[in-house]
Amino acid sequence: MKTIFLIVSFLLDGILSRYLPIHGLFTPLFTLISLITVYPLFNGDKTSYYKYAFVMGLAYDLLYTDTIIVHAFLFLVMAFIITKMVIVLSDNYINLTITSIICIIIYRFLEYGLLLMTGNMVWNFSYLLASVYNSLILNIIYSVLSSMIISFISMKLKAKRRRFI
Amino acid sequence: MYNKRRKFDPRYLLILIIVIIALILVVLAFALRKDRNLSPIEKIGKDTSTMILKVVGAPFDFVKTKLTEIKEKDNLYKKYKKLQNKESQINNVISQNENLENEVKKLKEQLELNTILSDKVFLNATVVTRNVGYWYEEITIDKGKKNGIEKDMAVINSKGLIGKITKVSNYSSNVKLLSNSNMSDKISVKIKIDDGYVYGLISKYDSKTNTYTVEGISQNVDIPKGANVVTTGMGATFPSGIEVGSVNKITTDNFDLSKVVEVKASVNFNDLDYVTVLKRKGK
Repeated sequence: MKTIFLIVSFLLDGILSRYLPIHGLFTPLFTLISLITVYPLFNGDKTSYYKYAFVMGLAYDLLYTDTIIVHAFLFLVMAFIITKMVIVLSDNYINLTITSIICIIIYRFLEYGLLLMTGNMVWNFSYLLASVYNSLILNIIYSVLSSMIISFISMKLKAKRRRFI
Repeated sequence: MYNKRRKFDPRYLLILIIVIIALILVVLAFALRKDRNLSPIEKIGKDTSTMILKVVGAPFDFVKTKLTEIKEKDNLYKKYKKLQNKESQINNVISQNENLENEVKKLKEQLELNTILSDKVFLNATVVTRNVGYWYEEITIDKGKKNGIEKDMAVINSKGLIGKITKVSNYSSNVKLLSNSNMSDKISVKIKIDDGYVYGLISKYDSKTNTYTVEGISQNVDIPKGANVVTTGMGATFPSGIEVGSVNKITTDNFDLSKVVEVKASVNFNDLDYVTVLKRKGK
């Protein structure tokens, strides 16, 4: 289920970007958000989780940004941060929202910092800030919705398994 | 005494961390290089994934087209009336155009010119993905090397210039948009004034107002508001005569030496579905 969910989020990222304004209030970051919501499905298997994050980053690089390993590295860092945050924050929708907000902020700052350090961007704080708040609304909604869907499907699957036993 | 382990010096750890960070930065700097060509594996991966994305996006496209059709149906009568007025002028324009084309052809023959700056070949393409990385200001189109697309070709839509090709794989390409705030290539443009043209360079783009800033214009020239801004054809990438926008505001630079013109972009960068790639003839 986790693989399907990650692939769907990844494809939605690309498809929605075609219909939403480039710098509008609804910038999708569904691949990153799916990494947050999908983590409980790994049952604490961090190695496997990091592998998934790395592969998703590679695919993101290849299809969306043509930057070989930049997002693979970034997603790996984000996956590490998510695993640490999950230890601190308990499992509920408010904490999920907080985790999503923090992850979006860190991800944008890291990505911008990398581009800045490698001479691909000029320093513009308002642009960086805009990128953060433009990514918040849609992605928070997606994180809550996707978490609901995942827990619903997980419950159904568990019930099915119990019936078989 | 012999079993005593040597202590790991924290200084080495610091050096190791610095070296690793430096290495990561070097690798990432290479990955983010603008003029980097795609490797064969990347090309195959990109072509395959572009095709998948095109198939997955087809139902969404269908819904969008239907919605646009419904919207446009309301304005059908207004559009019909507008076109009816224009129809009377079309024959006149067509004959004028044919006449001008003949004249250009004759002049080229007389001057033994193979190509002129405005000569171009058109290749139509559909947008597959658009600016997913937020900062990159790029779109991916479904035409590539096999369709005759090459690096640095100009890309337009029905409204005007939108950018240039930066990366090409076999069946897809990337277009860097002019809305890129870090636009490194200064584009040469000309503004129509009463007795000819005045030349300048696009220096930046403001996404909030959808305007370009054109610099390098003499202080002594009078520029009317609303004047048309088109490419000059100077430089290797853009053919001449492609619409860029219209003059919105005229100010002077900090030293009062030259004029700075704010140009309203003719293109809406938020609505790019179909584009045309221009190839200069003889390139």
